[in-house]
Amino acid sequence: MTDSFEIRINNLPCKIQPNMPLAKVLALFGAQQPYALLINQQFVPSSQHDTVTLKPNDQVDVISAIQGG
Amino acid sequence: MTHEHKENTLTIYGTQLSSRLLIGSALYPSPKIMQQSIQASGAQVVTLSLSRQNPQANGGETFWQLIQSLGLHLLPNTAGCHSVNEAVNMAKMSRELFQTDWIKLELVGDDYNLQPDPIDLVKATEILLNDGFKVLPYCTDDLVIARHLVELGCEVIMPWGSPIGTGKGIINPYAIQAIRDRFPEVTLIIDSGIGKPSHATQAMEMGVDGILLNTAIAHANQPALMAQAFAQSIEAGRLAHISGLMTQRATASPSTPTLDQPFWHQVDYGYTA
Repeated sequence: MTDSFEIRINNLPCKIQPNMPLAKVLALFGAQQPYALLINQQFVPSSQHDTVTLKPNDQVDVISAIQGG
Repeated sequence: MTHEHKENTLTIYGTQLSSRLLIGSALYPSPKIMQQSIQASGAQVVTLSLSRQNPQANGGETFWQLIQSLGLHLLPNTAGCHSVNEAVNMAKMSRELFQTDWIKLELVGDDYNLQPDPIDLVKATEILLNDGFKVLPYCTDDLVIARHLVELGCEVIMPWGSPIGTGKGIINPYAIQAIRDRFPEVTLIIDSGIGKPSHATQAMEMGVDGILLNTAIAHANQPALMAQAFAQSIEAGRLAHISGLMTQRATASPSTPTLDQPFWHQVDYGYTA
């Protein structure tokens, strides 16, 4: 079995297994729909979420609506 | 579009709106007061933003449900972005989340007064317009920046009256009037700095098409009441603009006819000791 590695989700450290599906990673984090995703500061459309493979030190940002002016 | 139609509606990329007030969703004392204030304003467009989700705080779901329940047009912003890449990515996330191609493009150029970066704003506007967005750029009151934005294809431009949250009103009326007069076909919305209803009226009298407000309503002692005050002041200014303001004079001119009054006062230019 390959060693787990660390990524950051919303700037929090998170250890994951290689090839872990993104949906499972986000579920572990507790992400709640609806959200949009940045991976390494780049927008990843929801249509591509199923094909994402995370690498060590990736930064995932889970983004949702807040108040704004 | 008929002249009358244009007078009575605010046009945002072909969408006709009867209210000329666009309202923000931030800074209210409570979600309930936010909801009441937005409804009291009569606004048909509400601004909102994006941030990292905090699952422990319900992921922002409550706010999102509240906003959706209002049934208004959503205008997401790119507040806090300091680069073209940040703004473009935020716009794309907003389009996916909120299912709108409208974007209130904000690009901070200096943290001291949150002044928009005019150069990166133009760059980001071009990228987003080419990607199918309907860009509402938050810009300074610089005529030439406005010209660049219009030439790129912006149908709406949103210069500041003064910096965000200052409430100073329109600090450079000449600059706003110049943009208005130079680009009469563009929808012109004052996006920041309006502090009181009279500021909004002043802007509307100048021929501005709409006002975007947040702090001045949200920070009032009674936000919902202030929202009504702004709605009425904007309407008053618009009617005044359409009606045509009188020309200012340097000297007094009596409004009551004085000819044949029983007490006729002959003007005496002579010197009396």
